[in-house]
Amino acid sequence: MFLLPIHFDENEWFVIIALFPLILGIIFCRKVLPSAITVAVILYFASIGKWTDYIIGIKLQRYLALDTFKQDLFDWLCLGVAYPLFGYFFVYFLVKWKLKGFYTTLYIVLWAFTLVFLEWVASIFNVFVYIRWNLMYSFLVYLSVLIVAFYYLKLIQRYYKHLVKNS
Amino acid sequence: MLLSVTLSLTILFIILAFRTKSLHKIEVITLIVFISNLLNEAFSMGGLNLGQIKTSDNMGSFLSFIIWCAALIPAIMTWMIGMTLSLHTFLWKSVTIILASFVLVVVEFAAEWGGMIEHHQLSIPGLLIFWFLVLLAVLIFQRFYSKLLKGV
Repeated sequence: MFLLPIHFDENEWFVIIALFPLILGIIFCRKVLPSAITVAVILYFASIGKWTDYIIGIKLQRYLALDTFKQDLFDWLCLGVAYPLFGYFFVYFLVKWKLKGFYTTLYIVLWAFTLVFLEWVASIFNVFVYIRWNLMYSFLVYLSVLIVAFYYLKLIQRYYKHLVKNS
Repeated sequence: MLLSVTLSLTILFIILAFRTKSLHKIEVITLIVFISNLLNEAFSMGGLNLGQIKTSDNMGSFLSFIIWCAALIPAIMTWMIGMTLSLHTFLWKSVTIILASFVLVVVEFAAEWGGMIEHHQLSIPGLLIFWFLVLLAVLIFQRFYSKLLKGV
């Protein structure tokens, strides 16, 4: 059952406003990946975001996300919509720019910094209230998630190519 | 001990899921991730918001729960879906899905017995319906994803 926000204040507005450019972006970006790979990537980011938040935010209570340690509608919008869309754009530019070697490493590190910056902006609007957490830990988590995402993408692409070749 | 058993079972069922002939490898990965996502939603809503299931406060048991819910059950379900798809008649497919729901209820009880979770409001018919609906949702997603793969 979805809970509704206890107070509809600046953090809920921040989530709504942040979702607009992401949704517009996915509508207007030219398709660079097959639909099957896009679905797999979106599911990966939704899943990893939800489990990470469940472990760190809810169980270990290292930060408070959106007013409550339970999952409300805006938590779902954040974890189920915003995170996967960020993940989609990470993969989108990685594929579009055909990055390799050192540039891939640089790209992943820059994305981790960008996500930390966006999290810092979100924390100004009380989307995240840190308890025993700081942005350095967030950076390490983002970096790990993005590195795994990179290898996950490579694996999915390899199986996809194999499937296309054999069909 | 619990963590190593959960990990070993997870590896075993992931291997079994990948060996299923009726599913492509890309389908196996996507199904595991999809089920993991779905179960997180279910535990967030049923366990966290409604307070029906409590996870263990012991860190080892909690980590086992995470592996159990995020990887072991998805791998078992993917393997079961693969087996179901290899059957030819609708009747056998339906019987297998119903039996799979019973197996998943047993797996959930095993997690409670192992100390990973604690049920607060336990209803066996409710659990059976829940796992049956999850299996149906996974089957629908599998059909959708298989069409996406064929459409390229």
